[in-house]
Amino acid sequence: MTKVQLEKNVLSENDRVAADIRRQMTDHRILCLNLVSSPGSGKTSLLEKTLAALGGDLRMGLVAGDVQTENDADRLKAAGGAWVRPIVTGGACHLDARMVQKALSDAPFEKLDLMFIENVGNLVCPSSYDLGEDMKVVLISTTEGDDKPSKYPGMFRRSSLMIVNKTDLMAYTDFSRDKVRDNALAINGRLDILELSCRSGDGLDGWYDWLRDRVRAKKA
Amino acid sequence: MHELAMADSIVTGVLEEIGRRGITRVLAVGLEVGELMDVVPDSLKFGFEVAVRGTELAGARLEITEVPLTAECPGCTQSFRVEKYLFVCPICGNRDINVLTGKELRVTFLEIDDDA
Repeated sequence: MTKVQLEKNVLSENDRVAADIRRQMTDHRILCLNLVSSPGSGKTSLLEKTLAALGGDLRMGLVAGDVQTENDADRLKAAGGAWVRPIVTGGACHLDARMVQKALSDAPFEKLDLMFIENVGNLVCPSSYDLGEDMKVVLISTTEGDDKPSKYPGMFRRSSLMIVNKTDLMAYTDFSRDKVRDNALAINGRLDILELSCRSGDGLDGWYDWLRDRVRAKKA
Repeated sequence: MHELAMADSIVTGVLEEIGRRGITRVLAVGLEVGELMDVVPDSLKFGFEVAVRGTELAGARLEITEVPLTAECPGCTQSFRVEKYLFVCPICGNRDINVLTGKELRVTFLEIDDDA
């Protein structure tokens, strides 16, 4: 019996494809964001609002992952203006770089400023899979509880921005904005935090400004 | 349950490696898993058992070594174990710290049968 020493990263194939996507996006100066959250936190609603509000301003593309159905992609196509492609994972709990690369095969890269990747609703599995994004944006909603960051530290550690959605419902829950902030910053001291409500529209301007700043920085 | 997809990637990677090296029989695959990778070792072992079926790795064990989460504070240059996912320097309270270990997911050794 012999022991052979190795140094082989398990996700090296995923990371290689992710690096290709990242290079392609960077060559075209496209800001690429990977949106992650639990099911029902409001990723699709946020994107609908964003496409409608910034459609005249920024040229956006979007790939929307779901385990089954193309419902999210259909909703986002209806929001108008953006290039939208669905990814149906057929059971897989996360997107991997190869799925994204396939969905992007006919993307009009030269005509885009911003690409969203809407991941499958899940705070565990998508965290280990690099999709070639510039940043991960993690959404939580006030109805989910303020301990979400502590329960899913891997995802919050890897994200650059945390959006707290459904602030219009905060009064009806035990959600504490101070607690969620403390919990999140203890895991990731560099995390940006925004609060908003897709339903009432409160705070959306802050998100649009955040996006415009990051798009501008990517182009510089 | 991303463990099944990971197990699949492990098996694909190891099959490539043994093909390249001309190894025919593998008894065990050694794997380092970082604490931050959100991997459940038992689920990964189960996924591995399923993924090796019908391949040259059938019957091989998966030996998992868990790598603890450690970090370094750029302020006071101390390195420390990150407890309970609190990414805060225990010396100076700095939250802007760099992870040193805990993101591993790599095959580190193969135990092979020389008689095969």
